[in-house]
Amino acid sequence: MNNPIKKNGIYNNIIFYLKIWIKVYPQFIFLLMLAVPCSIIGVYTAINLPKIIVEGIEYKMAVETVLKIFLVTSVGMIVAKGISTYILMKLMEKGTIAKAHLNASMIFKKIFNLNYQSLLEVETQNKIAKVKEIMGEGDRGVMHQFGKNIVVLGTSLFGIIFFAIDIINIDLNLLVIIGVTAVINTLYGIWANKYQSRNIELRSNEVKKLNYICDISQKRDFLKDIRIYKMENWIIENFELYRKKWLQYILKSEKVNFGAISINAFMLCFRDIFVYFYLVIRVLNGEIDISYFVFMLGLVMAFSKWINEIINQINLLISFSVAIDHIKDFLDMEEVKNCIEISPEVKEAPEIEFRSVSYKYPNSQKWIFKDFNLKISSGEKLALVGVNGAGKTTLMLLLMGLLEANEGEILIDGHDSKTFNRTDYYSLFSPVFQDINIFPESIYANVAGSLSYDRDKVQNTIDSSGMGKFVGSLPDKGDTFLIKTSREKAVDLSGGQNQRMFLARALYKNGKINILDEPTSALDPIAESRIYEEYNEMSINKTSIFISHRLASTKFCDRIILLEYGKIMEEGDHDTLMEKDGKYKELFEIQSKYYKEGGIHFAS
Amino acid sequence: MQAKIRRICWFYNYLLKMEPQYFKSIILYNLITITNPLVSLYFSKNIINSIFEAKDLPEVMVYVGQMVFFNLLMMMAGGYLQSRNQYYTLSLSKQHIMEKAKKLMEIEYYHIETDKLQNTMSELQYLETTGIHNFSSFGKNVGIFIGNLTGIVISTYFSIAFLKADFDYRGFSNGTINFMFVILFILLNVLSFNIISKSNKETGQASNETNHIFRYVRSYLNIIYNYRVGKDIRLYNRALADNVGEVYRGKMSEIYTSFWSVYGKGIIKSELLSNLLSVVISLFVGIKAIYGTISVGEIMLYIGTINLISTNANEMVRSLSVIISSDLYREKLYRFMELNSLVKNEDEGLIQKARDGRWEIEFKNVSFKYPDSNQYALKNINLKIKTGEKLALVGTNGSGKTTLIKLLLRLYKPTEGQITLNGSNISNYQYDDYLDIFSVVFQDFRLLSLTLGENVAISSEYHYEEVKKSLQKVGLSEFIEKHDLNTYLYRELNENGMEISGGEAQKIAMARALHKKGQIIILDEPTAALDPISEHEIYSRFNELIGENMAIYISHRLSSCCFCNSICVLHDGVLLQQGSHEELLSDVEGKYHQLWTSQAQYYKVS
Repeated sequence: MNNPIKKNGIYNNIIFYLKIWIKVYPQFIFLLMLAVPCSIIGVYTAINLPKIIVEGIEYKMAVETVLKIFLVTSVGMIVAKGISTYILMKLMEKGTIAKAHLNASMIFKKIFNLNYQSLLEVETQNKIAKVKEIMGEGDRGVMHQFGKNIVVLGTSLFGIIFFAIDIINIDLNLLVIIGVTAVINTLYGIWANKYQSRNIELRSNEVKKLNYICDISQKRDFLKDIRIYKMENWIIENFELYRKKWLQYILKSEKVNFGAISINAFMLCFRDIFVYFYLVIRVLNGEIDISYFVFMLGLVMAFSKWINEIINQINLLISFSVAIDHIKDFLDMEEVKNCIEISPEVKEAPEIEFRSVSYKYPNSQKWIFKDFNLKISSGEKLALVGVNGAGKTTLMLLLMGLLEANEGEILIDGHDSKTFNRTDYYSLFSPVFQDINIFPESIYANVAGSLSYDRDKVQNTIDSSGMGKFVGSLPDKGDTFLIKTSREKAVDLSGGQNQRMFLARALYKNGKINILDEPTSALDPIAESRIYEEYNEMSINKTSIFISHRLASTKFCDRIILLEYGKIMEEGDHDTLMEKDGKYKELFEIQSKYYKEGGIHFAS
Repeated sequence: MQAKIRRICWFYNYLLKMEPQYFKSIILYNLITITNPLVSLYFSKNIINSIFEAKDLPEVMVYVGQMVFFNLLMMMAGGYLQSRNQYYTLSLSKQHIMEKAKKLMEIEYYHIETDKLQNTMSELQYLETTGIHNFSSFGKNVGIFIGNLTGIVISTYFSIAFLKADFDYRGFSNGTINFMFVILFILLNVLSFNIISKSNKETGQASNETNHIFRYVRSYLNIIYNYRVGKDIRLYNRALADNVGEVYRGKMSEIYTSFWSVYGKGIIKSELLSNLLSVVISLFVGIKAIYGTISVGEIMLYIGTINLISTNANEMVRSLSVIISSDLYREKLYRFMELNSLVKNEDEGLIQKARDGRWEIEFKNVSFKYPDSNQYALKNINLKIKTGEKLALVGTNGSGKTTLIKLLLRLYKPTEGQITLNGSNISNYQYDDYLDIFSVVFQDFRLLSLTLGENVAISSEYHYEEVKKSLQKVGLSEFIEKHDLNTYLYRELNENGMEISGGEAQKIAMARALHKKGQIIILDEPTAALDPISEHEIYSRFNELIGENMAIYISHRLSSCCFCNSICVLHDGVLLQQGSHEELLSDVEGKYHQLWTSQAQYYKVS
């Protein structure tokens, strides 16, 4: 909100989207060119029908003649209206394909190719949220209705020009009056639209809060606490508070809507008086026939409707253009450069070196690491321990190239990480992350990270990660789909099973460097000890880094590094550190005191 | 059928209770907008006739003035009502969600964890997002139905004169012509009704079929747009992610193409038919007019009103078919809303009797199966605990520790056996009073994004010092020096809210439990997210926090048991061992010993 996004102009944005339409659906132009004249002919023939009858009476024409003209015109009307409706429906049917192309081929690619670091920035996340909102609008959104709207706009524009001739024939003033009333309507309409979008923005803040309250009060994981702590009154109080705030905005917005209707009503009233006045004078003076009078009443109505339609369409185009501005703004973000073709050769268990690395998060003043140096030798098992917030995870993100150091370099087997091709570099690592991100695909696909995989190999890794028995108990085994909300018969895994699946994923990838970021908090003691043993096993012939704040789990490591505030406080193997009688020993004592033979009795 | 009508009435009253003016304004709005064209038609007949007869400008303009004035009036009234409707509809949309939430808060708790209820909730939510099932469509269509019914009556009244107009054409009498016309008119309308209802049905089916595709696509979108997944995508799932583009493209066009091709077909058919109908009407009116039995002014009136009969009838049928087919939603909602609420007629006196500060809980042969499950989650549990005692429940995941607590808190009822408090079955106590004696922190506790103080006090108004004291007790003294009690937690409700760590959240949850001043304290793995220092801090404060109260402590981390008098080892729902730490550890064959050594081996100083 702070940084206004670049405005490309309605015209440019239309061309931008039109190009995508033509690319994915070339028939679009043909349909457009057919729909506009058909719609106009449909309206024109319809207002001619009563005219034909009245004319027949006025001039006492033969019934057969009147009937013939009437029927020909009718057929014309039915066909023309039929074609234009058909095309509008077709455009709604195809409305999604341009949008889907934009999303699938441009936006998704952009998200995947962005620097991970820039993904973490609030600004980027806001941009993505905005794009997601626009893309999620469905078939009522301006993007989906673009094709239809262009037809309606074209029809109205050309229709007005076409009908203006008849109106000028009556009186030029009439055209001016219709024009003026329409302009007043338009001006209010544009103002109202601006007001509404501001109102929606303001109220979206309130509605977000309201939705939050509504949301949690229905969520199963909140309902237990709500009941035990009797939160009902507290929640309803807050609900009413935010509902009232939100409704105040709605009330204002509805007042503006009512204003628009009132102004429109007055303008119509004003217009009609003049329309009838000019037409009646002409009829009474014998300058026009009654039949033409009837025809003109219909024509003026259609003319005004088109003018209103143009106003409407302009407003829609403005929202459309804003949407495209947001999308382009996101698409214009800089991507990761991936121009390196050949990456340096790396040994089986590579050596890692942090050379005076400094890092701070974007928009932050605080250095997480300043002049950080660390060397991990080939095949070493290194433990990173320290309290929450010591920088352990950040250091690993730096190593994996997900974050970029502000200063210094990270060397893999002596090669600067920047000299690697991105894809090759990412393939070096087999991390197990702390947070759980699952795709709505099968267990196999999630482990393999792809829809095409070697079934035996995936099954093997699942077995060695200790979830083989569980997976075997599922009706569809490894082909069972995950994420319950995504489809029927899909399942959600427990915290422990998720961890094991991610372990399997790391095994399947078989990277040269293993990174294990605190995967045990959801596991019970027996499972915990098993996991540690397995981690240990899978780290043979690899350089591995174990992160934990539970010191016992990293005892088997060759070297332990105690990290605090981005600095190495102590390092050495477990025994050395214990002898040192420093911070590590203090932490270890605190954690182990309950496990020493007999335990300590607080209660007694 | 009777049930359907009853549900319509029920739903009508349900909405009326929340917004008493809703239906009034929506029906009035429809009456006005539907009769508005009739007013215009009536006056324009007068205008044209007076042009023919009077040939006098002022007289004609009086008619014009009348028409314009009535139009203005009706448009203004319609506009006002429309904006009221919009207001009521939006307000209702949120109130309705809250009504559902209130229901969730008062039904028997066991429903909440069943898949059945979860499915019902998501079905309701899905149906509410679809066009025909939500209540705003119900209100709108009730309005449309009544408005159009009135419209038909008035239009028919004006059209009757057309049929009466005397006529003779090539030997066909007026009666014959009228008969032909009426038959043709009815035939075309019936055809049109059929098209509408068939198209509605097919559209409904099509949108049901696309529903599950939508679910799949949506869950993918949630993943793709989530920045946290960025690292998974880059390091593991690039191939899966690249595939999403194609999945999205294919599925989205499938969804919209299948929907709009069915829906569009219906639209095209009914439009063709209505155009045909209006041609037929104009034709008959025209023939009668040319043979001189109706005036030019009346031509426009009759063409208009007869067309209106048809459009009103079509709209009425359309609205009726929406109202009828949306019964699917009302039935589900009705069944949900009629779920049994918690019985509240327990013996109120009991809690008073028991209120001497000393409690004794006893599980007597308690067994329990979750609803929809054949397996016992707990089997034949016998357990006694008194005020002053501290009990630890240990066991692997799924051993039944949390289930036992849920039974104690009456979230579920034992399948067999009973739980007593001071000798009386716990279900005899008034539930609100009963809950008052407990202070519980679940492992999956939840804090709301409201202010820190409110979260501790569970109320918008609270005693400042008391809340502060509770926070200090759990070790957040420094924290509350930095953050005022009025600071919002998280950012959902306030942009300046604070992000708290898992450890801080756990401490706040514990402060909340302390502030509640329950005399029986239950902690379900409260240290899972804490680092060693905080863990230590919490452990050593534990006694102080609990004082002389009864405490039940659940953990799979055995270190936490050391300061409990008694430890219960649960395994697969069975109470395997009970005793002090030493007693249990000395049984080398026992489960406890196995659990203990598996964890302790890491801490043995070699």
